[in-house]
Amino acid sequence: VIDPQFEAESDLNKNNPLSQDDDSPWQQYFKDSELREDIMRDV
Amino acid sequence: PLVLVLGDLHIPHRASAIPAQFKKLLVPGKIQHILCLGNLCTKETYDYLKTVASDVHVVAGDFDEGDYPAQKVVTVGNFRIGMDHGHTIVPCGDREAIALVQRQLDVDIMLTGHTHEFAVWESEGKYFLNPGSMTGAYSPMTSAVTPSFALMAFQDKKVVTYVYKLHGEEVNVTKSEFVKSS
Repeated sequence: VIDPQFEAESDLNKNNPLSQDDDSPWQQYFKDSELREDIMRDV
Repeated sequence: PLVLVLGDLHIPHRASAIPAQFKKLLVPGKIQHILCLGNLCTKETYDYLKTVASDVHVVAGDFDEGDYPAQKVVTVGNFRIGMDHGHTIVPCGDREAIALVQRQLDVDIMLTGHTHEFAVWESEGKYFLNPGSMTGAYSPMTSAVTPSFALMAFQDKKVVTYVYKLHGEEVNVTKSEFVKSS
């Protein structure tokens, strides 16, 4: 999982943890965390 | 983990509600801890914060109802975080005076409120943050208050602080970083 905090960021209004923009790396980060939780529950 | 830092809401006396633009951002499930620096002022506001994250820490402001401690120390990852509303710190908002409290509490990060003015600074290897007023409530000290709050992303020895400010209808985000030395 790529940590969004360390990605080069040009537009903080899009790239921040509370951003609801689909292009925000944080959105992917939260989706990955949900997926990890689901996997943990399943095994 | 993500930690939401906010304070000085003054609902319902000086502001009717948290700005809708902010509320829209605070969806449940992202934030692990909330650190509130006081002057909520009612239980309704506290109950709202509990819906955003289940772990909510509050220190008492000079207008708070409810039984909150005057100071609190919370540990997140490798960091000790001190909280004090700041109304007993004299002179108000003074960095030297706040540094004294930071040393008493022996914390890496010191959070204060009360001035309704966002501020972040580093001094002698410690990190200081005042998230300002989340509702933009007026203050005797500051005439035009910009609504603001902060979100801290912790990782190992590093903290990235995202600052959310409401300018008119637009939320503007800036950030600041702090790395713990030892």
